[in-house]
Amino acid sequence: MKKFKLSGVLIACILSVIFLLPAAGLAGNTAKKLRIGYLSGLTGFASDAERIHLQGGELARDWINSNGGVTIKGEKYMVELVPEDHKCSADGAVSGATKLVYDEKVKYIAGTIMPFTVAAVTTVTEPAGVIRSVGYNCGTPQEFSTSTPYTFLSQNGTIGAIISGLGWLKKNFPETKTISVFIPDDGAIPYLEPQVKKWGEKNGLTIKGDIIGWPLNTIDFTPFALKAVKRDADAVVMANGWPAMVGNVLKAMREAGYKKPVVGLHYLQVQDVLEVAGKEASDKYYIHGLNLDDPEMTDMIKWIYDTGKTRYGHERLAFWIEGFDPVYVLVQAIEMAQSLDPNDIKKAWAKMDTIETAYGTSKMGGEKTYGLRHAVVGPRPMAGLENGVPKSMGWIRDIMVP
Amino acid sequence: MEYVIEIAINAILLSSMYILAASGFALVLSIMGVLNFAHGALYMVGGYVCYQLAIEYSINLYVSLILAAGIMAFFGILLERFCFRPFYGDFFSSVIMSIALIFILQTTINLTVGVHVRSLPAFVPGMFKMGGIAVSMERLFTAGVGVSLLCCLVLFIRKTKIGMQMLAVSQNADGAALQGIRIHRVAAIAMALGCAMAAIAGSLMGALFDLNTFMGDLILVKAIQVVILSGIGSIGGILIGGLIIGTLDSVLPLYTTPAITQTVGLTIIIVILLIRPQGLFGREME
Repeated sequence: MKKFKLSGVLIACILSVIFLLPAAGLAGNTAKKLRIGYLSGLTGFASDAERIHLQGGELARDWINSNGGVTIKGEKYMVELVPEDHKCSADGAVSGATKLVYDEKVKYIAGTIMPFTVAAVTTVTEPAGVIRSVGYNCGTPQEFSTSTPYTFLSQNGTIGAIISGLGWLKKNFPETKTISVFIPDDGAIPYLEPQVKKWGEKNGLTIKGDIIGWPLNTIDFTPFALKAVKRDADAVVMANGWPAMVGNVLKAMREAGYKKPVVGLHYLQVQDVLEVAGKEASDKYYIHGLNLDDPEMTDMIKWIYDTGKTRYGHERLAFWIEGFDPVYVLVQAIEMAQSLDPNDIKKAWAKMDTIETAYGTSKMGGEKTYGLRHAVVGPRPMAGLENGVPKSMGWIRDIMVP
Repeated sequence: MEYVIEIAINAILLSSMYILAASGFALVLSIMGVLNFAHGALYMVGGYVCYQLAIEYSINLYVSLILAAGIMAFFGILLERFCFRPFYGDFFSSVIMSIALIFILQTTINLTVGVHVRSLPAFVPGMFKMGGIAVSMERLFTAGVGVSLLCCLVLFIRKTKIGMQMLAVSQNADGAALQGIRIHRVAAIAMALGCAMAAIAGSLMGALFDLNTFMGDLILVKAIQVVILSGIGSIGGILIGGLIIGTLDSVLPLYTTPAITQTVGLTIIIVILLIRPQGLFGREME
């Protein structure tokens, strides 16, 4: 009998701890929660980089919360991220988005980079009227167009990089007249080719031959490099691709004897490319990217770098920022709308002229290019590899995607 | 002319990479009858082990390569004993086990060191130049190792006692056991050799390209193509199978789009298999 009594008391104690402690915690915390879904590839072929995006999202959450959270009509909200894995595949992205929208009931989703994941998520979020702040855009209408009114682009995207990168190439290598173009064969080539042609012509650059597409499952890039080298253009430009892929392309091209400038029309950290390409191949390579000792680094980037390095033990700053900005700009749009309703946020965001990003004050654009004014376009640093050494190449501050 | 020679050299080099990656996979399939889908993951782990030894512990790169092969061989013995032996003769269970191993190995590496971009330093740096043609020494070294290892493997199987025991087990395990051959011991040696070869391939490819958690997935597909085309049971046939697939993969992208390249490549393999279902040099499977 005594044993039963003792068990009863023990069970009562455990139940009290389970039910009363969280309630006490909630009672002590007056701020409400602003739940933002965060989709990234925690598993799958690009998860080495995609996991860092989520870390960037966590840094944004902490930065926002430590600066007082979000104030809507006088009420304080603390950001809570609801992470979900899209497995680096289209079907994984759909199931992840479905879980966030219908199980977790989030009204806003940040993240996703690769075009097929970005496009796949829209099939869930658009009919549900969920606001998305995507991490990147490769220029396909499935990702971002008039048919995706709830989707916003939090960063310049490939088209922004084409505009600024080709301008930078012509300015810094004025003798360049012809270019060879490398683009991963991920469905974006038909949409990016006209953009490269258009902005190339504006800068007096002609594409030699067709676009050199390479499949995402390429092991050896030498055949593609040989193709580019044979064309003997004045420069090679590469739009998109993860650091390892870009490093391997650069290495293969240098091994095939190509010695002219190679310019990346996207955003990577040159140290990552250097690690793969090696010192010998890492020359005359330039891309929109932060050198880790860039003298013009913003205070926010310095905070991201220092905090991220301490917390996560690595230095992949470019991907932290790529994961940080989707949350940071989304929260500003919510605050601007002074409403939690996705429809109000959508209207308010589209009317904003400027918005802050980790890289500095950015503008809203994209009406002519995408058919809707949902693109955040801001300044970007250029970085390079010369004789195997990373170099800061200055910032491009007047980027605009019409 | 130089361009044609460069294409031919590149075809041979890429083929040798495929041969290197496929040899261990073919060995385990031929001897143990296990379709080891985890071969790609073992190849990846081998590369990372070599990296840890060479970079984190500053051990000489060649010594690291040998140590990585040794460590993975020991790991292979453990795998055979605890993961595959319980399912000996049960094809489907061993396949499921190998798929489970992929997830375990990939997730372990992904969560521990997978976040970093890594590449092993070149085993043989520099370029080999002849006339107007330049080839990286690293590629030549990888090709040399790939072909040499395959030759050693063929000689080992045909000329040594344990090799002939392997052949006997691959032809008829029950019959071999009745002759006094310890089939589990033979299987353990085959698995150890397969894992060691995976480690060597992963390390060399990690120097040639880069190390990442999912590098094994891509090479596994190529290894399967090479083995199926060569014919299951034919270790030596891998040389020809590797050359065919390597040549297709290095020549077709020069003249057509990536999508067509992959389609044409696979179509040629299918046509060959329609004519010779057992593969080019394979034996008829029961």
